Amino acid sequence: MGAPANAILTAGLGDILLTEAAVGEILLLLADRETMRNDPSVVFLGDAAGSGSTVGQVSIVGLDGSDEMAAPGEGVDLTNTAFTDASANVTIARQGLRYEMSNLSRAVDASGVIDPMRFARSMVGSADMRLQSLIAGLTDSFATVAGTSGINMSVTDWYTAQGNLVLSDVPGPYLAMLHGRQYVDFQADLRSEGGANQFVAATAAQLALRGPGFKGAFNGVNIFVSSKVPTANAAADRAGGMWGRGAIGFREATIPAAPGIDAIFAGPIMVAFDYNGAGGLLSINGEYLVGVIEIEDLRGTSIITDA
Amino acid sequence: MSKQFTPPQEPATVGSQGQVPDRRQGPGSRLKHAPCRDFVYKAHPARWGKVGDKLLPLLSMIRFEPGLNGVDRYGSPDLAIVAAKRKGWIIIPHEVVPNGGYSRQHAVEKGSLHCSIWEQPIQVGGRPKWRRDPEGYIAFLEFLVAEGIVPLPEPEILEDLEEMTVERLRTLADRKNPSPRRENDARTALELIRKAHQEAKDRAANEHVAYDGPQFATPASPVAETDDKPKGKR
Repeated sequence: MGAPANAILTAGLGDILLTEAAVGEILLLLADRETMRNDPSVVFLGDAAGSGSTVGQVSIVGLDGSDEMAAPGEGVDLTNTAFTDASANVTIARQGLRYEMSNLSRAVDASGVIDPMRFARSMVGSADMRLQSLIAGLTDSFATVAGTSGINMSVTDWYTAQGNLVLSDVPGPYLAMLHGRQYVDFQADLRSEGGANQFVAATAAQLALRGPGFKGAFNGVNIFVSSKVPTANAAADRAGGMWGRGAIGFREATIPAAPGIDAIFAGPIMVAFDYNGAGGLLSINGEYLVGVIEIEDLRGTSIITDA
Repeated sequence: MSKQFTPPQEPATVGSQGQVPDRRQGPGSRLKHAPCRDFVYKAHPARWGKVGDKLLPLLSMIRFEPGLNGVDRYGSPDLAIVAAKRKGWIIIPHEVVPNGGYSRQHAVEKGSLHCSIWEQPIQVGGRPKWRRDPEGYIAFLEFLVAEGIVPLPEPEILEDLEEMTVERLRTLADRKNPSPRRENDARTALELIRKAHQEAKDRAANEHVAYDGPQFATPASPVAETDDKPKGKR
């Protein structure tokens, strides 16, 4: 039996009802939002603001046990020992992101998302991801390697990587940055390992502190997973890495405020607003001055395993 | 006769022949791979490993990303290259591959992606994937070694690699749940490394300037046992 005559049905309310109405919930697009900015294994090399150069020199000195005493014998004059020093240069560069929105889009927006302040806040995450990408760009740069091309990552590769660091006298804390594929393979292999299992999964509190990419610790080494870990061997493999403090560092420069700039300064991140009256367009420009550097090569090892 | 004003003749109907739209430019149709800058390959004397079924250098790369490991604000890698060379890396020039070098630029959704000529970014059902040419890449690595662009590995490096592989094999054999594929792979790697190690030792023996002084000598008298403790402590 059909609907009674003149019954009010949605089919007849085309002039009143919307074709689609936005639901109250707005979800974040799936993306890697892992950041290692505050991890102790990555060294913050200071603020370059007012330093006079875009290039900063990180001095590495051989003190506090680097040179061991010798036994010259009683009455024998000591000879001078050459002081060992080295340096690494960290170059900062401009990183940026721009969004532009029309007056019309802002006016009719019912979701509250097309809001310049929301986009300005989002710049912090974008800057963090840029730093994360730059750090990930170093994991394949260590001269020491663990793992085998074309073979899934295993617990053995993990121990090899950790052993490489121990053999080079690298002090902790150690940190491993792996691609998701490497981590999944490692987990699969871990399940078939006999004996004591030293994997400690991340707790809710740790995730809150360290972000979603923190997966826990194995054998005392923290594990971060990032999709930004690069490929190796013509994309056959992924090249993650494990390193100790002093292997990788980053430097930033705070952008000084100036009169006439309509901007928000969030630490080293500046978000400036530009209005183009002719086009009725508002742009949101995020800017972050940063550079990353491999400070000492032997403090890290690449982990190259099947992609 | 006065000049008459003639209005421009406009056809009653206007039209356009039109052109085939570039449908690949539509949202969702471009490659979703993350953009990245161009690069140069670098090789390190200590980075060797099994690639395919051969013992070959494990290349790394210097990406021309401003702010990354010495690449300056203009994207110039000069400082990064100097720093890498100081650490023992060998830069592989693009000229080793004719017709534009070993990298290619691809347009992706948010810019340009640079990758090697042995990789091709593709999209399958909206998902970013890579189509690879592993044989081509291995041939490239073999060329680098054959031409001496990447020197053959030193025996000391291969000795470390051999020890590491023996340990790997032992660990794999001790596992509660064996992994035949990994074990076979480690065994093959060990064979390759041992063969290369022997060759490297032979090479080194030919190149090494041997010590040509007196070999061994018997001491004229046995080493006297001395007691250097103070008398009161004996």
